[in-house]
Amino acid sequence: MHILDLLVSGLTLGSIYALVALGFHLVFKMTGIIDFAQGDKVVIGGLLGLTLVQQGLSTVMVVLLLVVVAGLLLGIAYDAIVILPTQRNGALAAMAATVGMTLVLAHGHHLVWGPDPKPFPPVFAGGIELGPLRVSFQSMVIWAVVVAVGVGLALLMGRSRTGRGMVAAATDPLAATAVGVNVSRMRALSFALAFGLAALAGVLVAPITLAGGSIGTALTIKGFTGAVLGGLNSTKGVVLGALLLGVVESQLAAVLPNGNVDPVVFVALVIILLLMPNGLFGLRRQRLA
Amino acid sequence: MRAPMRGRSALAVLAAAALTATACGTSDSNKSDASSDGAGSTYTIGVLNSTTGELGAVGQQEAKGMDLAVEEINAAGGVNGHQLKLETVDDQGSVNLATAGFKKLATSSKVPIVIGPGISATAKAVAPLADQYDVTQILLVAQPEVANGTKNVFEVPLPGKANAEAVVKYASSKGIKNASIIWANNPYGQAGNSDITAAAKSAGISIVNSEGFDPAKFDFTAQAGKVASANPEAVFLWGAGGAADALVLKAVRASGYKGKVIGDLTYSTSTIPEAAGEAADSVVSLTAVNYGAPEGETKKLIDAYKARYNNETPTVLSVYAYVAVKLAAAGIEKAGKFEGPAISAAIQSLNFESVVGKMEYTDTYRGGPNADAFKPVSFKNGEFAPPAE
Repeated sequence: MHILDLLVSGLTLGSIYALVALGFHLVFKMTGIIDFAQGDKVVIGGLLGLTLVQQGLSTVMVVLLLVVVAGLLLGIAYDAIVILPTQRNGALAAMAATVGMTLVLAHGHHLVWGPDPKPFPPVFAGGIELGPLRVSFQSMVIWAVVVAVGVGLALLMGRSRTGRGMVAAATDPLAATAVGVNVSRMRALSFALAFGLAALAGVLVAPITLAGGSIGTALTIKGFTGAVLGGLNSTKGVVLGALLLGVVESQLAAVLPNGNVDPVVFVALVIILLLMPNGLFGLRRQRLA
Repeated sequence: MRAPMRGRSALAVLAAAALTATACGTSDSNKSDASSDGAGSTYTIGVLNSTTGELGAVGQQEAKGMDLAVEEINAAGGVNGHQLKLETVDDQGSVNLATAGFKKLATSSKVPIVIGPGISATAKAVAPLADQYDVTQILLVAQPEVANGTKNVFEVPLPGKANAEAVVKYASSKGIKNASIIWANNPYGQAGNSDITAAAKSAGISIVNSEGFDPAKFDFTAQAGKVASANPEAVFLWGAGGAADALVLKAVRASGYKGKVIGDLTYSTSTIPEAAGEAADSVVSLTAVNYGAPEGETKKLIDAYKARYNNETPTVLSVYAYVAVKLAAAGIEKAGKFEGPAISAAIQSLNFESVVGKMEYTDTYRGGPNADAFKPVSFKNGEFAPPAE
């Protein structure tokens, strides 16, 4: 039974990583940039949600909606302030700017909300019990959101005109501009969606991780690891990679001393990437140069 | 087009740097004139702690306790007719910044006494500087070995080793014969694991398993499951002073474990019931402040702190910092002059009575009070309460 407990907690852990990983995937696929501030954006989302709850807003869907809207707007501002000024210097400059933003966001939310993580009431209280195994509704909602967001992103990027325009803008901006795609608008939309997703994730995971604190860096590292493990360019890949990472971590934690889990996971990641450079489930041929 | 874009890039970098610097810098608002012995002038005490960074919560709690103590002392007329003032340097938990901060306080601000840091690594780095610069230093760490052997360094917190002995002593009093340990995998937790294992061995309690946890994580199902499957009579928890401590407690109870859970003093903060929920009612923490049944000076301090900080209960770290300022003031008063070596000699001879116990320093021992100063505390419906049994 203990293995099943670990499987459930591992799936939840992996789903939390997946929500961050999907943000990495979305930005990378649509802009060619790796945004290392993704984990701290999740923390900001959780803190915005907590503020609304503390102001007396108790309807879950309204809180989620307001936080996602705030995330979308913050994403547009993030693009204008952080990404746009770096565009002439290439993707590497933009990535360096996002690394800087991890510090700005982390210190910023410490200044506004304080450095302590804060308890967040369960968004969906209760759970189901299958004998000695208990699965919380909170976990099930996170699993469902991961699936829904994954499917939604796959459809957006693979089937919709806008999504294809976004991918085209990232793949070849000049050619995309020549056929009428507004590259700047597509990039802003990408960052808005990524921040909105992070904000949604923040509210969903805060009852488990607590809101605020210094968890942003850990979320970034694990979300990025999951995404790379599965294949950063594949929607299915980042979800499966992150889930696998969460499950493996949980199972290893049961048999290895705590301090050895992350080193073992990262060594395994390096070996896997040596053998499969595009990740376990990544596209064989990279679309992006 | 290219030049303006470069200008915007530079602007963005400058803005980011400015924001980061704002978040990380020295507290200029506390900057004061150099100390003076003239009647009525202000005595400036240096403070070195981490108010930002990953361990920013530690410094923020300490700052509240220190501010309250200074206000009380100044309201009562100050020390020998001098008002007290704090000059704070935020070391962000960094050894390099702590070292630079101490030197700044000692040489530029010329303070004869520094309080802090409250983090093991930074405390170890700066403690040797106190003798080098003839500055009295009151550390807020629970490791007497850092201060022992120095001329000018003292500690207020009850030693971690004494906390471990108190936890084991409490377990023995309840007839516990075997136990598991779950400890934070950082220097404080590693020392706690060693101390509690040694204390248990001396008390005849066998340790059936020992699990570390990473305070930066949030899922502790695996550690709790391993402990539950060993089914010991008690689980000893040794936290990190952060929210992860509460999540560990929650995971232990969620694993189905029904035995006793006894924690170190990190399990006596209001975050524990907030984040662990009902599981908090079943933990007994051996802590420095008698939160469960406060009386006398302890009750007076808690009431004053709540009145000052929006009904917030002082954490142990806040109380240690509060006591450190009171100890510093008593030392300055007895020394009769505002000089490091004189203050150090006065502090050593005080046998200072405080709400966390008596500070009995000698030439060879500079740590806080012993194991008898710890009090068992629990929670009931989210509020501090004496243990149920």
